[in-house]
Amino acid sequence: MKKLISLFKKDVLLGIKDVFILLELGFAVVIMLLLLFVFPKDIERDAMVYIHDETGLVMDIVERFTEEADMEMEFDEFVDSREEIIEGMSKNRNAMGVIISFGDEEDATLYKTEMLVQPYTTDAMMKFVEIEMEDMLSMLHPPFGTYPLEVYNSVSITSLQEGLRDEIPFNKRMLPVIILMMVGIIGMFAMVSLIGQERSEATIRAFRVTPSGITGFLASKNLMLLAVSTVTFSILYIPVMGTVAGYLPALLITMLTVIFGSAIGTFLGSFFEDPMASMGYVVLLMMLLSLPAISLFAPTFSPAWVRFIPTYHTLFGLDAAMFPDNNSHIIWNGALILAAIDVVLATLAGWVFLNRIRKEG
Amino acid sequence: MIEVKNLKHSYEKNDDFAVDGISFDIKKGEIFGFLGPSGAGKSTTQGILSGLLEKQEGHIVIDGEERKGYPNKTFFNKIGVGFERPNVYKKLSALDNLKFHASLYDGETEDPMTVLEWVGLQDEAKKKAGAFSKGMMQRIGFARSMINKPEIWFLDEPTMGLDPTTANSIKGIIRKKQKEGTTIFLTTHNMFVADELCDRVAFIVDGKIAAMDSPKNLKLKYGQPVVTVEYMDGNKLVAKTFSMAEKDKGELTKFIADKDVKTIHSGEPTLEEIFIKLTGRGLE
Repeated sequence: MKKLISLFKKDVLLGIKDVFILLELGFAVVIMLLLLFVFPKDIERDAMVYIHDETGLVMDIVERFTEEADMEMEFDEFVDSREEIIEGMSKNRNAMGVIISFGDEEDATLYKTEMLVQPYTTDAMMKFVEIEMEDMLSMLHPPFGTYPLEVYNSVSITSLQEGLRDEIPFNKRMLPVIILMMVGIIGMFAMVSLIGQERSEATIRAFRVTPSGITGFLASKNLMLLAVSTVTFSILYIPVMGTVAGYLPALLITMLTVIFGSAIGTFLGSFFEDPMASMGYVVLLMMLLSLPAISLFAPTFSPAWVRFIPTYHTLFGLDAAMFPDNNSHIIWNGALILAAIDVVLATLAGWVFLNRIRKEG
Repeated sequence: MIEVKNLKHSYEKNDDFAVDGISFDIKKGEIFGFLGPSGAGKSTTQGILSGLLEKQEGHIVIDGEERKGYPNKTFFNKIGVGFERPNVYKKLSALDNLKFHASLYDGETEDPMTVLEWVGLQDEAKKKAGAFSKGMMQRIGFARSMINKPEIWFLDEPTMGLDPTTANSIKGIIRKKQKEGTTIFLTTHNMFVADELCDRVAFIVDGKIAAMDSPKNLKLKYGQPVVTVEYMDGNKLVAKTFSMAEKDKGELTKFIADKDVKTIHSGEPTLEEIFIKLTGRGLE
C-alpha cells in the first residue's frame, strides 16, 4: 500500500506538472459554464398546465371566478380527455397535465387529482403545481364546513415515460455525451500519454528493477485517472443536474468507462513508445466509441452491432441515471456489462503490457 | 556471489544469440568489468543478471539462489542498477526523483539528500531534473541506483559524459562501496575506467568471452612491456622504442652505451591494445 500511495503521489505530481490535470479540470469548467449559460436550460419556468376536469365543477368555479374578477387564466387549458393532455404535452415540452375526477362514485363530494409530468420535471415544479391544485380544491368547499383531509391528500403524480425524451432541455441532453468524451474516453488518451512518457524517458526500466510490480505501476495511473475523472465529472454534473438526480449511479458508470478507456490506452501504450505515433489509432477508436451517441439522439438508429460497443452502455446508463423514469435496470445492466468488460480488458491489457516491456528488456 | 554458466540469450528466440554461452563468476566485494564494443552483448548480460530480461538458457546463481525466468522481489531489494541513460523523471526535482525511488524498496534506504551530496548535486536538489545538463542527469541516475544500499550493484558506463573531476568523484564512490562489501558488475567500453576500477575484466565480443583476468595479468600475459629512449641524433631529439623481451635486452643496453641518451621511459600496453590484439576489434 505504501508503494501504491507513493506511485499515486508521483503520478499526480507528474500529471500536475505536465498540465494534463489542470487542462482537464479547466476545460471541464469551461464546458460546464457553456452548458449553464450558453445552451438552453431552465425551460420549465413558464410551464403550462393542461386540465381535464371530469367533474365539471372545477371548470365552473374557475370560469365564475375569472368572470367575477374580470381576468383570464392564461396559464391553464381545459381539455376533454387524458389523451389530449398527453398529446399536448408531447407537443409542448414545458407542459404538465392535471386530471380531476370524482374520488368515489358513492360520495360525489370527494375529488381525486392526478398530475402528469414530463420525465425531467423538477421536484420543485411538481410541488408548485401540487400546491396550486390544493388551493383550487380548497375553493370547492361545500356550502358548509370543509372537505375531509383526504381530499387534499388525493393528489397523485404520474410521470409520462415514453415518447417525450427529445423534449429534455438541450444542455442536459448533451451531458452524457460530453461526460463520455471528456471523462470516459480521456482515460484512453491519458494512459497512452502517461505510459509513453515513462517509456520514452526510460523511467519504466528503472522502475522494473525495484521490488514494485507492474500491477502497482498501472494501478496507480488508473487511480490517478479515476481521481481526476471524479473531479471533472462533478464539475460537469453537479451544476447542471444537481447532486441528487442520479449523481452516484452516473459517477459509477463514468468510472467504469474511465477504466475501460485506460485499458485500451494501456494496450496502445504497449505497442507505441511515442504517444504521437498512436494518435491515428486513438482518433479512430474515439470515433468508433462515439457512435452510440447517434442512437441516444436518434432512437430509430439502434442496430444490434451498436450495442456491442461498450460506450453504448455508458451513454444509455448515464442517460438513465440522469433522467430516471423507472429505467434503473438500464443503469445496473450497463454497469454490470462495463464492469465485466473492464475486468477482462484490464487483465488482458496488463498482461500484454508486461510482456511487451519484458521483451524490450 | 554471482555464478554464470553457459548463458545464452536470443531476442528472437532463435539461433541468433546476442549472448552465446558465456561463463564467469564474481566474488563478493569484487568489481568485475565487462569490456566490449557496442553490440557485443554487455548490456544483454547485464539485463539478464539484473532481471530486466528473462533467463533463457544456462545457469545463473546469485547469492546462492538459482535464477528461473525472472527474479523475485527479494532479489530486487538487494540490487541497484545504473543505466547508460539517466532514466529520471524530468518534470520532478532531483530530490523528488530520489525520494520516489527510495519509497519503492522494502528495506532501509539512503537519505536522498546525502546521496545527492555524494554526487555533488546538493545545491540543485530542488531543481527540475529536466533543466539539468546530461552529466547532471547522469549523476541523478547514478545516485538513484545506490539509494537502496545495494549488495549487488550493476553499473553501465557510470562515467560516460562526465567531466574528469566528476568522473573521479564517481569512481571514488564506487571504490568506497566496494570497501563496504558491495559486489559491482560494471559494463563499459572505456578501457581506462575498467583498468582503474576493476579487479577482473572479461572481454566480450559477438556474445562470447574472449579473455578474462585481472587487467594486470591480461597485460602481462598478452602484452609486451617496452622502453622508450629519447636520444640526440645530431641536433635533433629522436625517440626509439625497445621490447623488454629477454632477447631484446642486449640491444637496449648497447644502444644506451652508444648514444647520447636524454630520457628513458618504461611502458606497458593498454587494455585496449590487448583487446585489439585478442579480438582483432576496437572498443568503440
